[in-house]
Amino acid sequence: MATTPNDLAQEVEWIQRVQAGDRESFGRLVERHQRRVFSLIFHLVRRRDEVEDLAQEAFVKAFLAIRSYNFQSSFGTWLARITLNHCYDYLRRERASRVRYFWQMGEEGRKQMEARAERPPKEGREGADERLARTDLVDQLLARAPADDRIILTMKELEDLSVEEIAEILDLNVSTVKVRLHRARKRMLEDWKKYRSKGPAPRSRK
Amino acid sequence: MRCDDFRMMVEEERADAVPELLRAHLEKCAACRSYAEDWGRVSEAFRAAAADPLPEPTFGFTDRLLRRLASPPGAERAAREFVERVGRRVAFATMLLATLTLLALGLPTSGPVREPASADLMAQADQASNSNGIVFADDTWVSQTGNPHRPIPQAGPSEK
Repeated sequence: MATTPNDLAQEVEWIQRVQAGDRESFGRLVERHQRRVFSLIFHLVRRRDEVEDLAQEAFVKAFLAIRSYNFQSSFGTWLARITLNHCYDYLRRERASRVRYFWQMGEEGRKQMEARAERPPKEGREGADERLARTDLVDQLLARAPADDRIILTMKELEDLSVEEIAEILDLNVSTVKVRLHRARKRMLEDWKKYRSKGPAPRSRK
Repeated sequence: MRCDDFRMMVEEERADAVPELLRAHLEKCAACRSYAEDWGRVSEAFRAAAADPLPEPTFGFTDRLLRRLASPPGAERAAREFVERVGRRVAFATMLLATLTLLALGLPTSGPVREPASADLMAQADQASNSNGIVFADDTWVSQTGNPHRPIPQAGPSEK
């Protein structure tokens, strides 16, 4: 990512070249931002096997839209917004196909899947397993959260973005982000409590 | 301050740096204390998940991406997408039309709204005449009362 004034100036030059039709300069932008894009996608979708394809599609979208980039926000923020929208579409599609798949399952398969989902989060194990258990818990909590909550929680808790950065990416004001974040956390904790006491609640709410 | 405000503070504060005001509230409010404990556990899980090694782009990622951008060109891609979109609509319309045609063919050919055809009228007339009596081959017929009738002979040329 561009951090020093020199980096920024160079980035602006690359962007202007891409806007003029130079694809090679886009390759330089990709190399500078790919780690951030990969990280955001991985934290949002939580699937390693999908990250590269999604990243490529997000970069293609960015390339096709780069003429509309007007330097109002940083290129990183603009790219994060495109990536986020792409992941949002993916999550909705993926969730819809999962529901269809569940309905297509036979009685036996459905019972097995329900039993697996009802298994409580693997907590209380020691050593290296402890970290895996925590990651597993996060996976489950995010998988059960509505897409909007999942996005805002991922950006704050996993990407470690500030409220101001999230506000810029989501094009919201800071106080709205704070309120949404608090509501998302509250909903997640309530869901977790229910999950621990009764088993899984309906998974998809959006 | 309401419990919700304290809970927002809980989410933003580190466990080892809780302000006095919040600490005092947590001591007397069991619900907020439970919320703080739950949040502590979940945020710890998030920290562990954030430390997961990130997937790296595989060798040649940028080159593959640039090749993809080079072909097909944007206009051609847009045209192909247009054809795909329109094609889907045409296929859908054809299916709909075929379904409607099949339904129309499957419906009964006569109904209360259809006017009877001339063949139907003739059949009805025959039926009506037959219901009044039985007609024999020599054109005599027996009415329902049982009296035989003979047709009136046609007037021929007068005999001289």
